[in-house]
Amino acid sequence: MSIIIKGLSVSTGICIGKAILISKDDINYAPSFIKKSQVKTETKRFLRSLASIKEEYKKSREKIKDNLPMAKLIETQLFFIEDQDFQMHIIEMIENNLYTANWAIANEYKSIKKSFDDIKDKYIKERLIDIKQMVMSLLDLLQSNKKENIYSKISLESKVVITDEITPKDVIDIYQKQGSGVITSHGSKSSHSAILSKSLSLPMIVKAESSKEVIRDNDDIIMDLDNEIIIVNPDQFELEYFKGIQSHRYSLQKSLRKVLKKKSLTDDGIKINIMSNLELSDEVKFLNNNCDGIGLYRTEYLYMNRNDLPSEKEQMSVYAKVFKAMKNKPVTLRTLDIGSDKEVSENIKVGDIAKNPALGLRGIRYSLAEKNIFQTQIKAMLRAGYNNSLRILIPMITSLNEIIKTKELINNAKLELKKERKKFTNKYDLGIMIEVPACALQADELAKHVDFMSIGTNDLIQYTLAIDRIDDEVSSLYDPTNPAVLSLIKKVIDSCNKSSIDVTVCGEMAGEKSYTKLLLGLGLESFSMHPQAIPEVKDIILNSNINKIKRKVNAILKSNDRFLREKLISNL
Amino acid sequence: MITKDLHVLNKLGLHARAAAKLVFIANKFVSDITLVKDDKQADARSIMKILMLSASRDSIINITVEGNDEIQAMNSIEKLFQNKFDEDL
Repeated sequence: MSIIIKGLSVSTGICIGKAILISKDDINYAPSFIKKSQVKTETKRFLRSLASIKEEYKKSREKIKDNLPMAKLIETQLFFIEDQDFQMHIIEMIENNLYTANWAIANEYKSIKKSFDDIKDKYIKERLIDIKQMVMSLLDLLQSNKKENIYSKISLESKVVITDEITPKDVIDIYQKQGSGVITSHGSKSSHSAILSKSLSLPMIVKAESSKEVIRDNDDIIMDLDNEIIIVNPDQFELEYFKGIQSHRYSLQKSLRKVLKKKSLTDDGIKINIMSNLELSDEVKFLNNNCDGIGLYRTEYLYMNRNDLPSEKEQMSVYAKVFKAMKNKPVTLRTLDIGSDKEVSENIKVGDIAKNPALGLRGIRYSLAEKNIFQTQIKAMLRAGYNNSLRILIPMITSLNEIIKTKELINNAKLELKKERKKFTNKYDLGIMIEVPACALQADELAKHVDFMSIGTNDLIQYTLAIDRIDDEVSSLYDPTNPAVLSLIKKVIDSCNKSSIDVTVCGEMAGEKSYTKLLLGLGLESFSMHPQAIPEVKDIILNSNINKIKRKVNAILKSNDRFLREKLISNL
Repeated sequence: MITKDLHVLNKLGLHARAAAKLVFIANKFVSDITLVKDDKQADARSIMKILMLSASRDSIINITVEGNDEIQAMNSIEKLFQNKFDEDL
């Protein structure tokens, strides 16, 4: 009989495959002893393995010395390896109790783990992971099964990986080894791994808590990502049904792939820019060449899941990677947009938990309050932008005054770079996010001070309609086609056209195919969206006649009936 | 023998990287250096033992240094604590 497990979907679609359970968490606590005559060799064996992982860590530190946080992490790891207390205890157990090195290490880990269980400080408690990692490497070496990447030695084709947690590196490995999907018992939808798997179209369900207990190796698995369920050992009927849906999707995707190679011209010959949104620099490797640039690179993730701030050098190398991958196409780097819904590292404090974070210290407001963090980022951007097509995008602007202050800070950054004799670009575009109605209403005036605008529809809708769409009580009132919203979007597009500056929509509306024609009708000629949305949206753009659409758009702007409006939009 | 109570001032407490710095400094000296917090004791040369003290921000650690270079050792350690382990902004 089939079993159903619930989880959280990272993307959409259907995935069918055979389960493969991967456990990274096997410390063998089985007792094993040596003879008294073996004490010396066993001690040597232990010390040799310790020395060899030390060597290994030193080598990898050498390799990544440019990535400062990683290098520091390894530096700290080395202290664990050199811990005299740890070494002494293990040697004592070998000498006095005649334990094998393996069992002595496992034993020592067990007692360390016990001490760590009593630690209240959450941050210190988590460091048990470092010790565990070292212990696992040691045990691996002692068992002489070469420590290799876990996913590199097994065949993953048409397999669904079942595991506790997954790293971004694992996601890339699984993708490259043609694994079908991933189910994790922990994790979250906003993790780096989740974002990466979404952009690679690798189906992933996280937080499927009972998955490791219920699923066995080689079980048949259906991941229904649309409904956030996993079906374990489905019956014939279920299997046929989902295979039907899957093949339908395949053929659809296949036909869309052809679309990507075509020039992005509308039916009546107007060039439309189709750009990609980016959250992680790693994603850029997998972007196909069929987009016109990066319309929005959210730099927040550089600051997340860590305890320090990314340095100028680190940021520069990350941005440079993106520029390099995009060749000469424009890359829009948005400065740090924290606060509100985004949790960032502990080092960045947005005050105490704001009572109303959406209206609090976020975006440029934070940057103007924490000038050093902002200036470091700007310096990194200007340096990476040398000989590249750099666009700097400022989030959460509400007034001209903020633009002026921002420019001052950018100038300061340039002066510092000059003083430091560093190469940087002077040719870049400066743009602002239109998220706040106040900003949209002043678009005419603001257009004189910036090189481009980018409309963040999610926030613009939230602030215009005073609707938090995550709040179930009011989410049904969230209406992207509300006349007030549409007229603000139109106003911004018109203002930019009048001043001959670029305007892009980079919010979810840009990647939502039911709104593509509407946006074209409002005069939009530049879209930036999640890479996975590009084929479908592009397909619609190629088949749109802008002149025809424009004639019909006025009726939509005037209609006060949501139902009628949606009908008119679908008939565009 | 010198003994002193030192205050953990950095935001994250005596976490892995801060502990690593302490070990690094302790290794430069020949004196015995012992940390005591509540009922727990740690050799300043063992990063694991230091972590097990679970010394979060604002905790007080009693430090005892004994040996030929005890004065210099205590000075260096005190400085490290005062500078919040060189990590706060």
